Amino acid sequence: MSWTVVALVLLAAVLAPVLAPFHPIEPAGSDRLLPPGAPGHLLGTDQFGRDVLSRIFWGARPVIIISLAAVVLAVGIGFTVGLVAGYLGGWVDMVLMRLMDVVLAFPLILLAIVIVAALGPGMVNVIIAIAVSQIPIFARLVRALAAREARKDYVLAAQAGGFRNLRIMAREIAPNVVGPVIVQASSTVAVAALFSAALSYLGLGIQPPTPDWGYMVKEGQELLFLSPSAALVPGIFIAVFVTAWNFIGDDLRDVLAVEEVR
Amino acid sequence: MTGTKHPKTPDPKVVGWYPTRRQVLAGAGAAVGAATVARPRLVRAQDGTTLVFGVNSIVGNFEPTKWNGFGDSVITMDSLGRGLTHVDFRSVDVQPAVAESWEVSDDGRVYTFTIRSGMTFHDGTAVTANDVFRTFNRIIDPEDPSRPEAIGAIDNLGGDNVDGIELVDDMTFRFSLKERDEAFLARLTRPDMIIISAAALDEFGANVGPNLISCGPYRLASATPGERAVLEAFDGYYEGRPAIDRLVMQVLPDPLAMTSALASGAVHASNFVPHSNLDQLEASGRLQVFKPQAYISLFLTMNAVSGPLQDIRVRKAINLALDRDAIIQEAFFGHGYQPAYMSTEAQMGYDPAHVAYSTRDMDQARALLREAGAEGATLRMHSQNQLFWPKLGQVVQRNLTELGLTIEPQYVESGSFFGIMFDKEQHDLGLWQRSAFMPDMDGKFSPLFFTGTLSAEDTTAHVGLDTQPELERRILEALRESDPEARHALYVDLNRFLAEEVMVHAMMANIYTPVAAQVGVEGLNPDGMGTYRTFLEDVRFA
Repeated sequence: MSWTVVALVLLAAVLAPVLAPFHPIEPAGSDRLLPPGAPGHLLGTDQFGRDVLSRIFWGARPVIIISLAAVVLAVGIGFTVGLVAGYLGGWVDMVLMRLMDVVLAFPLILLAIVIVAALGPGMVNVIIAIAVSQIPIFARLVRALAAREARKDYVLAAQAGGFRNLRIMAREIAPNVVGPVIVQASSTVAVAALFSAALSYLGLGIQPPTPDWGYMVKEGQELLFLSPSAALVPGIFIAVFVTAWNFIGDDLRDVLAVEEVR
Repeated sequence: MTGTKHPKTPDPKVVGWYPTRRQVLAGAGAAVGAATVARPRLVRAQDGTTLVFGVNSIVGNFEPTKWNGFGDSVITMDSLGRGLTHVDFRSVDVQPAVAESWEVSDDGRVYTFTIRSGMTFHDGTAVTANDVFRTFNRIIDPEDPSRPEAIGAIDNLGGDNVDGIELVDDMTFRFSLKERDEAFLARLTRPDMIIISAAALDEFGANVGPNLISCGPYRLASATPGERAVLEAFDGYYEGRPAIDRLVMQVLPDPLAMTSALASGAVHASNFVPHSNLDQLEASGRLQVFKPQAYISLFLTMNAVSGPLQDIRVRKAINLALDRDAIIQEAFFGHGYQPAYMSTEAQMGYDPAHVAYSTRDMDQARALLREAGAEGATLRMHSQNQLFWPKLGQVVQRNLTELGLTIEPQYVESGSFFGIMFDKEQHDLGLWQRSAFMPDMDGKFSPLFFTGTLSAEDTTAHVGLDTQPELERRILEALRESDPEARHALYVDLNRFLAEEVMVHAMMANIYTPVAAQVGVEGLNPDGMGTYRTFLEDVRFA
């Protein structure tokens, strides 16, 4: 079910130009705030007369791009930092982990807000902000796994064989720690999607009139008494998408039989 | 470090039962359902002698000469302080306040004020001409030790037209102007012109804002930034103690929260009611909804030294492309008015014929843009990211895209917005408003168009245009005209001149800030509140 939901959202995002019945930015007509089920508008229209279904299709794009890109960036940096710290240990480990502790000392959503407020709104800056807030999670996870692997016989054998540290980290340790990272990454996609929506809701993310689920909630919130669907529809899509990614994380954990690291 | 195998399906017999994510989700769903059908507890304001007023912000700094947001600098200030003169917006006539009378010299350049006898500040000290002198000295003298940095009040007082101030005797104070200024008495009614206790200035200096001592109907009891300010009725108020004992200025920055608070009775009154919910609140029957006169002009500022905007044909094309009807319907849900030019219908200089300047004509707009060779030009558009601004911006962007321009919108928080708009290198277009804190029409001219003001130098940056000398001559001419009819005619012509020869502001709509109050709250002043001026001394419960 979760995989189906995510696949459908991905499909909707990719095929938005084909699937969307109306232009996502231009008014679909003179009727504003039509309720869901109105003729020609399955999910109604917003205060500008724009078709909500079309904006949902197009609005899936930024949430998917931002959440996936932020996770890829966070995994890339966090994995490298954790691998180096866990394998080399000593002062390298201490310096890198204290740096990660500094980042973790801030509430992650607050950190993302501060970063995007400093860099300015926009998709790239939102990706950077979310990625930076998630890097320590991957760094600490990989560091713990790498430190454990580093003491195992196959690594000691590689060291005795005279292989360089870079090769041992890349070829020996990395493949053995990647499983939990995949599980963590899938859960982090959900977090990143939620952060993306939250930043847009706060006016720091995707700028209007570009369709974005988080900003649609913000726009619709004021109209909750007048037209509840304006906020509820994008809100439901966010909730379903985020929940689906969380369940995917659970499934991956079961499939990969990931051990819990203590 | 140890590892334990995570079971695919939790087995209560082996590891102790704990909920799966799906079970948590099901439980949460059930809880939400139960909460939905449960009747919410109605929150009531505290008691019969406390009035809770909804505002969008409280910073906790009531420094009159600096802008600290509507909550501090206008809404609360209007209860804390009084100036030499006062306008209550029930009429636009200037009335005595701290000054009980005044004389104006024949040439209109010297104003001599007699201070009201027996008047006291909130700290119990008597109001004297020395307090008035100290209040204005910190505005006009950069060396005054109690003067805060970067104050904005000097522009509102008339800029460098103030030649000097004089402490004549204990109860007499004098202003000397370089040129006659028919708006001068009205300028003194602004919230940034309230009189401050000299004793407070001695004690707190430039940091008097959080400790403001003035002589308004309410005194400051406490302020919690971001939450509320609490005011208490002042026994020594010169027009008598207000009927309400306590005012709570409650911060509710979110429009929906404000609407809910009004609907539930948690807030008694507010002039920060979103236009979108006005009809629903009115239909509820439990609230009084006021739709006062529209004093507020909303306009698109155009940076006259930036790229294609240097060409007046491009600026005029943009003006002609704006769809005011769509703006009023989509951004204000019909609660706004078609603009003429800078003067609203309630103000001097309004001419219905000027509606033609603010009427959409796409054919002419496209022709002008083509003539100027600016088709396809890219322009940055800045706006605040709260209240109605993003809605307004989206309609404007749509209109200008239809014209053939590429608009890059940036919606930012208020502090960043003003920083960008006061730097001519950083913006092309900006969404702006001008309220009428004082009803005199010059409030929308001198501070926006005169050389040396932030708006003229950096926002529209029009001071280098060939038209600037003539524009300033016309503004001064209107300021010096004492006959109301003749002055009205001058402002009519000034509006025309701005629209035809300068065009650095494209009018979008004239609006008011809607006012809502619980049934039973009497003595409100909607016309003042509709332009943010919030005088609550006459408010009482039925």
